[in-house]
Amino acid sequence: MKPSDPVLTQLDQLPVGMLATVCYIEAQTEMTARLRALGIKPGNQISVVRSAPLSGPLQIRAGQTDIILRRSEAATIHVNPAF
Amino acid sequence: MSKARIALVGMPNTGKSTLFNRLSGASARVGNWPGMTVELEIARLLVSARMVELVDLPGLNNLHGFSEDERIARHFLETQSLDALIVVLNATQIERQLAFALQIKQLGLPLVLVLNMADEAIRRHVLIDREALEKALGYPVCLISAKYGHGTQTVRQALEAVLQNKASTAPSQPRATQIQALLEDDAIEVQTTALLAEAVRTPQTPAITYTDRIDSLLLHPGLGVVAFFFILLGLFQIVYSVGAPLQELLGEILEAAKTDWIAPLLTPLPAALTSFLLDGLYDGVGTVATFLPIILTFYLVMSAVEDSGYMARAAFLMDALMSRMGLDGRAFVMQIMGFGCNVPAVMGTRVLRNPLQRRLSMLIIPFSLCSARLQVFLFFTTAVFSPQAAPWVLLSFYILSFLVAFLTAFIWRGQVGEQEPLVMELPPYRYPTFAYLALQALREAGQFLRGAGGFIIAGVAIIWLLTHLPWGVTPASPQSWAGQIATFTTPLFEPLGINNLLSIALMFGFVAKEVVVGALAVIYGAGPNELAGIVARSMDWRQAYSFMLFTLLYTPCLATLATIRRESRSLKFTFASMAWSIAVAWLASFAFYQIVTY
Repeated sequence: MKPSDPVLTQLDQLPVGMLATVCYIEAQTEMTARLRALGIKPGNQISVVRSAPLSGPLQIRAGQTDIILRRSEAATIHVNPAF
Repeated sequence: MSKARIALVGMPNTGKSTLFNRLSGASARVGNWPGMTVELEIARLLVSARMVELVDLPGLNNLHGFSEDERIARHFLETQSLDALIVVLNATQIERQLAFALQIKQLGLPLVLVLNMADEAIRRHVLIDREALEKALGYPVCLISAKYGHGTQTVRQALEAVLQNKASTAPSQPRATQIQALLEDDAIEVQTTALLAEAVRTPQTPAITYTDRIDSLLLHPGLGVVAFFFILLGLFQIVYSVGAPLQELLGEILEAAKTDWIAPLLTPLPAALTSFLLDGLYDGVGTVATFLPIILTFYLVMSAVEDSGYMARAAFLMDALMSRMGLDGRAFVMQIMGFGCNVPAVMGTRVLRNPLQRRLSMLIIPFSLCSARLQVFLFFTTAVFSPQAAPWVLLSFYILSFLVAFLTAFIWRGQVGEQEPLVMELPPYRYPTFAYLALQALREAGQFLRGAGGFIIAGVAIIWLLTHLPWGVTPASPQSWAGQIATFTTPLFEPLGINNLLSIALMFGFVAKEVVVGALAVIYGAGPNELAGIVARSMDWRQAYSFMLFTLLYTPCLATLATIRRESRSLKFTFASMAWSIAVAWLASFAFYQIVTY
C-alpha cells in the first residue's frame, strides 16, 4: 500500500469502532519503537474504542492491549480502514 | 559459593514489582548503585543455599526506549554485572510482549521467562503451550499469578536450575554494543512470529470483558467525568475521615506523654535545656510522627487506585485539561489529594515517570489548601467575618488555590521541555489485594521517616532557637530573634496589612500550619477562649483576608519541603519552589490589600 492510496486515513480520523490495518507510521524512531512494543505496527489490526472529552486522547485497541494516545500522535499513524 | 545477582526486567504493567515482593517477602530495601543516579529496590533471598541479590528494574518497553525509566533500566543492564535475568511478561498480551523476551535473550544471560497473570490469560482465552515455549527458548518458562501467589514457587525452582547450570557465560562482547546491535529487530520479528504460531493461541477478536462494561460508564465523556469527581471526593473523604482523626489522636497522645511523663523526668535539668528538649526536639519528633497515619491511609487508598487500573483512566479523562499545562491527568489526582495533605501528594507524584513533569507537579501541589491550613482559615473566618460571609470567604480560598496552582503550571510548563508523548497502556480493571497495599503503605511510611525525618526535626529546632533566643526573653516576643526579624521585615509586611505579631506567627507556620493559631495565642498572651475576641478587635477584615491569603500561598510546611527535597533530590529545586511560593504570596497579598484599601 502506497502513502498516496486514497483509502488511507490517519488514526485520529478513524470512526470509533471501525477496524483498520496499520500501514505506516510517520514518527521518530523511538516513538515508532514504543508503538511497536505496544502492538501498533504495520500489518496489525487496530481500532479506536472511544475518545476523551474536550479533544482529549483516544483509547486505541490493538489485540489484547488498550492504549491511550493523544490525537497528535494518533495522526502519525496511517491506517487502512476495513469496510 | 559466591553471591549471585539477578535482575527482574519486564514491560510496564506486567506485575513485575508484585512478583518482586512475592519473592522477597519483606526483605526489600532501596539501594544505590555505583554510576547510577537513582535508587533501585533490591532484596536478598536464599536460592539452594546460595545468597541471591534480586534487583527490581523499572519497566521498559524495549531496549532502546526513550523514557526515563527505560534509560535507567538499560543503563543498569549495560554497566552492572549480572548472573541471570528474570523476564516478566503479561501472559494475556504475550502476542506483543514475546518479542521483548527475545530481545532480552540476545544479551546472552541465562534467564527465566515468567508469564504473569496466567489466570487472566485463561479467562481471555489466550492459550499458551508452556513446554513448546521452553523447548524453543532453551530456558525455563513459568506460568504464574504473582498477585495470588500461584506458581511463584516454580520461579524459585527455575532460578535454582538456571544458576546451577550456569557454566561460564561471560558475555563475549560488552552488553552496550549488543544493545546497539538490537536496533535491527527484523530477525527477532521473524522469530517471534514463528514462536507465536507454534506455542500460542489467541482469540481472533477480543471478547467483551467486564472492563469494557465498566469503562462504558467510567470513561463516558459526560458521566465519566462526573464519576471521576465523585471518586475523587470519595478518596478524599477516606483519607480525611480516617487519617486526620488518627493524626489528631496521635498528637494528643504525644502531648499527654510530654506533660505527664517526660516533663516531670526532666525537672532536674535547667529550664532552658528542658524547653529545648521538649518544645524543640520532642515536638519535632512528634511532628514527624503525626504525619505517619495520614501517609499510611493515603497510600492504602492511592495504591488501590493504581492497582485497580483507575489511575490510567484519570489520565485519560483529565488529559485535555492538564496537557495544556505541561502535565497529564495523573497530576490532577495528586493536586486534589493535596487538599488532604501536601506531603503524601508530593510523594505520589512518582506515578509521573518524567522527572521534569514530576517537578512541575511538585511545584504546584503546595498551593493545595491542605487540612492544616483549613484550621487557620476556619479560626480567622469565624473570628473576623459574619456567619453569612464566612463560607464564601472559605470558598474563595479554595478557588484561589486552584487558580494559583494552574497559573503556576501554565507559567512554568515551558521548563518541562518538549511535551513527552502520552503513550500509556490502559490496563483492565483488577482487584487490588489488601496485603499488597498494606505492604506498599508501610514501605512508603518508612521511606518518609528515613528521608524527611531529620530535615523536619532540624527545622523545628531552628524555629525554637529563633523564638527562644537570646536567653531570658519571653518566647516569641518582639525581643526574641524571631521578633527582631519581624521588626526588620516590617517594611515588607506593612503594605500587606500584616503586623509584626502576625509575621512572627507566620514563622511558626513554616513548621506546621496547625501551630499558627496556637502561636498567636502565645504571642498575644491570650487564653484559648479569648484569642478570637482579641484577633477580631486587633484587625479588620481586609487585614484578616490578606493574612489568610498569605498563609495559603507563602510556603508549605516543613514536612512538605522535606518531602520535596527527598523526592526531587535537589536542595536547589526545593529552595526555588519555596522562593516562588513566597513571591507569589507576597504579590497576591500586596495586590489584594492595596486594592481594597485604596
